[in-house]
This record gives sequence, structure tokens and C-alpha cells, in this order.
Amino acid sequence: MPYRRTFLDPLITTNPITVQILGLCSALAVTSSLLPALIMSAAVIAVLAFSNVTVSLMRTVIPRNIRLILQMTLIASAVIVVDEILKAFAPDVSRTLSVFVGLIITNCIVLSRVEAFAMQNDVRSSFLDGIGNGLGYSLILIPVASVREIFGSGTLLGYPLLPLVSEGGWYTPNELFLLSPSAFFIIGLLIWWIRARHSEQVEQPGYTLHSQEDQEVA
Amino acid sequence: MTVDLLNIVLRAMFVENLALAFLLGMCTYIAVSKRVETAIGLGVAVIVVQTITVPVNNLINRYLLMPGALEWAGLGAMDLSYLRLVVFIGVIAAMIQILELTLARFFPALHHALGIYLPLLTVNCAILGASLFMAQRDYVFVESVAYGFGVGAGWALAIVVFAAIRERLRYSDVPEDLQGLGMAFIVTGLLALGFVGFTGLEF
Amino acid sequence: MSKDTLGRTLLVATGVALGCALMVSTTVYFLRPIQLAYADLERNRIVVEAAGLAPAASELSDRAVVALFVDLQVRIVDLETDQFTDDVDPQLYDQRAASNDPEMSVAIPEQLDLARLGSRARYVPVYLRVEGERIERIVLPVHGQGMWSTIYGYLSLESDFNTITGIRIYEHGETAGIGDRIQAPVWQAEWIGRRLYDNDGELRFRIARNATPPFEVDSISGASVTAEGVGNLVRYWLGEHGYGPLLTRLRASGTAAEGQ
Repeated sequence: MPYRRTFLDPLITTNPITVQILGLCSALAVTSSLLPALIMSAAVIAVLAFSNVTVSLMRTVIPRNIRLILQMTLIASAVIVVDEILKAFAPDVSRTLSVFVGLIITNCIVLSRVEAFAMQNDVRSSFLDGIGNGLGYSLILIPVASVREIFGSGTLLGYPLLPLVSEGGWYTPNELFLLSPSAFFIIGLLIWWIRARHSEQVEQPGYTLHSQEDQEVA
Repeated sequence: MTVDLLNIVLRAMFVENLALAFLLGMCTYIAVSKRVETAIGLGVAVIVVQTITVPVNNLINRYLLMPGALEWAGLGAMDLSYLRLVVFIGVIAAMIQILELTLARFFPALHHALGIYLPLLTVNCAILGASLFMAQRDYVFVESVAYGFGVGAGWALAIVVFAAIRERLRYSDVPEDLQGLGMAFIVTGLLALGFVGFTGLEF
Repeated sequence: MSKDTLGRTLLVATGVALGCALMVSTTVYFLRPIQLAYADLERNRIVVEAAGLAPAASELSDRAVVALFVDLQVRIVDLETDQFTDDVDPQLYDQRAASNDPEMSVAIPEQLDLARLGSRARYVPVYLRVEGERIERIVLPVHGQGMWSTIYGYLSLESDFNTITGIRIYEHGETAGIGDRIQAPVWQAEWIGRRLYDNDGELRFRIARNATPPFEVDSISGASVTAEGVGNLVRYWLGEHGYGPLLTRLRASGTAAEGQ
């Protein structure tokens, strides 16, 4: 598979969140402001790259019967390393992210790419696939987090963007955006927009109406 | 004590519902909720798995991993809590494997009904998440059983309700580009919003 | 199927296990000191703020925190004798480790255990802001059970060892968005000026709904269990089994000169 496609596809065409429906858990919970979302994205990209590369390196020697647990061990270890690094160098953000960094282990994206791609492909492609999917994940997280922070707190990365009423401005923060359901709404609307531009992603209804059938027959 | 336990169960089911308040287990939640039957099957599997893994992980955390846990072996100064992630996920994978074998041997009908969903639970964020929350809150064993059951029941409740709505949604007049996944997200958002109403409730 | 032989499986499994173990352990080994140092720095930052040495310690640079912290006197209190002691080196003492060590901790009688701790360390470090011979401010570490977790904080008192100048919560695992309101400046501001003991030396301080000054602080609606937890832990630590006797003694003399 040409390297360029491996890397570019997961950005929109096979985006892990909006198309493959993976990696949602953390995506929704850590996006109330931009900084945790950025750190989370970086963490996921790091773990994806590491696990894809390691599994790809070992793909010829991994016995089939312990395949799953081996992959999980590798992924879990990578996540622990990332978690410890965060706790040492970005402790405040690490506290905000709390259990969600640990949950990268069960982030469907990681296991799915390892199983579906790294087990069958060479190291270089696996690396690109890992980075690509990680970036696809970030591509959804970042807009969601930005919108939520701007409308929910009037800031972006902590810098005030919309002057708050409490500081003498005109913007009353819309607290709905700080609640997790807002992430769902925003992603739903994002999907709507993406599918309006990429009609091949639109789902067909699983039924046809009688009236339509009659017309087709006629 | 019973009242405390009931408290824990109710909180876990409503105020801190893993699916709709913490948004855990979403991948499976959205992917497996197209029909109520399959949702119920998965829900039951989740309840069973949670009620088993959370207490088991609680014991391991208490007697092996926590700072000071290895007191009984004379190694009170050791703090192995950084191994939590690996150990918990290993325990969960093992428990699910054992559960599957047990079901296949003694309850084949149930095993067949659950099918692929049981092994899939190994990577369900909600299962690992529940154990991690339990460790964070330092529950005793009995409390962790209550908590495990509560979170499982809450998650099951959420997915069954969602599936029921989705079954109806199939026949609604939804804009083409929003059909299916897009609508699923928005509906989940509304459900989650409803559950926000439970925060601040004290039992 | 040669990949699946028992020997092969064991070899690969052991290899991966060892490799991962090595990777994780090495990381933790090198990073743990940094993490602990940061935790210490954060605690010192809170103490500096509680001692009134800096209005908003969160704005201070790390270096500034360290510089200000040096100005404080750290003294170890022996809660068995209710006196300052030099038996334990404050620089090396770890109160949390001591709490778990049966040699260095004391079981709390059930009827006195308001903070639901079970046991507590015998020696506790307290921080004093000293001007000449007088103790201007005393910062007392307090901790206890909240709704879900152990809450850790510092309570600082005036030179009368009775009036509260501030409460700071620096660690807890209470419910995000609800229980963590115990860290909100608005609630903590209410504590300023409240008193602990009445003229007879009785501990009157408590958390209550519709609180009346000078001995009460408002509970937090929606987080009453957590707020009660804070109230109880303060009542434990400032009571007979905690710093109570020490403070009574200090109120009588007011100096930190000898181990008094």
C-alpha cells in the first residue's frame, strides 16, 4: 500500500472517530478545554506509533494463541510510560486527565489498528498508519475542544477570547458547552458537515417505502 | 451499611452513570445499539463482568498494589500502584476468558446468545474505567461489589434505552447526511443531558 | 503452525514481559523523583499561601515559592506530649509514610475518630511564621475522610491560635464539579476570621447549613457530605486528640522559644 494513502486516509476518509466509530470514550470526556485535548492527542499518537511499530516488528514471531494478551501488554506498558511522563512534566494537566490517560489502553483505535494493520504490514507502513490514525483522532478532538472552551469559558488555551460579563465584558459563558453532552452534539454536527461534503459516507436507510417501490416497479 | 451500599449502587447507576455521565464504553455503545435484543444481551454481559472484575481488582489493589499494601509480606514501603493499569487489564482479560469458558461449559445457550460481545468487553473502556474509579476511591470489598453491580446496571440501562430510541429513529424523517451515525450522536447527547439532571442528587 | 509451539509461546511471552517490565520500571525509576519533587513544591506553595506570605501563590514562580518557604519555620509536634520536639528531623520526615507505619503511628479511639482515619502519625510537621519571639501565624496540616476519598489540607491560624486566617485543600478525590467546591475561593474565603474555640476553650467550630459566625461555616449545597467531611476533619485535628492541647499551651505562652 502506498505510504501516502496509509497516512492520509485516516484523516478524513477512514477517520477513526467519525467513520470507524472508535476512540470515542476519551474523545468526549477530555474536550472541555483545549489543553487537555492537545495533551491527550499527543499521548494517543505516541501510544499508537509505539504499539504499531512494536507489534509490526514482532508480527512474525507472535504466537496466535497469546496474541491478544501480548498486544495488550505492549499497549498497556506504553500507556504507563506516557502517563508517568505526563505526571512528571505536566502534572496539572495530568490531574485533569486523571483516569483517561490510563483508558488509552482500551481506546478502541489502538487495539483495532494493531490487530487490523500492524499484524499484517511492515514497520514503516505501520508507523505511518499509527501516526495517521492518531492525527485523525486529533483532527476531531481539537475542533470540539476549541468550540467547547471558547463558548463554555470564553477562553482558548487559557487566554481570554471573549470578554466575560464577570470581567466587565458582554459574554455570558454558555455552561452547556462545559457539560459532556455538548461534545456529542458538536461531533454529530461535524459528521453532518463531513458527510455533506463526502457523500460516499452517507448511510443508506435500511428499508424502502412502499410508495418508492411502486414507482420503481412502474 | 446496607443504606451506604444502596447509595453506592444508585449513585453508580444514575448520578455517575458510566455511559451517559462519564461517556465510557462509547464505541460499543454506539456500535451495538441498533437493536434492543442485542443491547439487552450486551447489557447483561456488562453487569456480570463488572460485578466480577471490580471486586477482584479491589482485592488485588488492596493487598498487592496500593502504597503500604504489601504490609503482610513485610514490604510495607513498596508502592506498586503504577502497575495498576497492566494488572487490572490483565485481570479483566483473564476474568472474561474464564467467564466465557464457564458459560460455554455450563450455560451454552447463554454463551451462544452473547456470542462475540463477551470477548469484546475486554477493551470496553467502561470495564477498565470502573476498576480505576474504584481504586481511586479506596472502597472496601463489599462496597466494590456494590459499585461493580451499580456501574454495570447503569451502563446496561443506558444502552437499552438508546437502542429502543434508535429502533424508532430508523423510520423517522432525518436529513440524509445526518442519518445513522450523526443522529446517534445527537440523541446520545440528549440522553446524556437528561442524566445531567441527576448531578447534585444526594441519596 | 510452528509459531504456536509451547516453547515458542513461552519464549515470546517471557521476552515481552521482561521487555515491558524493564521499560516501565526504568521510566518510573527516573521519573519518580521528579514527580515527588513537584508534589513537594506544590505543597510548599500552598503552605506559603496559607501562612500569608504571598496572596496568590499560584502566580509565584517555583523559585519564589522555595525562597518564601525558607522563611517559615518547620517544627515537628509530638502529639503524645503535645509539644514541639527535635527528636525527628523535619527535612526527612514523611508524615504519610509514618501514618502507615505501625511504629510511628497511633490508633485513634473510635469515639474520637471524627475524621474516620483509623490511625494517625505520632509526629506532625507544622509551619510557623515567626517574627522575633512571637509566632505570627501557624499552619497546621489536616486530613480526613470526605465522601469518596481522603481530603488533605492546611489550616492556618492567627497569633491567638484561635482565629482562622485560611483553609487550603490541596488533595482530594471528591466528585469533580461538585465535591471539589471545597477548593473554591468563595467557600474558603468564608473561613477567614472564624474562630475555633470559645472563651472556655471548648471547640465550637463546625460546618452547618445557615451558619452563624463566629464559629460556623456554611455547608455546600449538593456537596454536603464532602463539606461535612472537611468540618469533621478540622474538628478532629483541632480537638483533644489532635492539636488541641498544643494550641492551649501556646495560647498561654505564645512563643516558640523552647520545645513548648
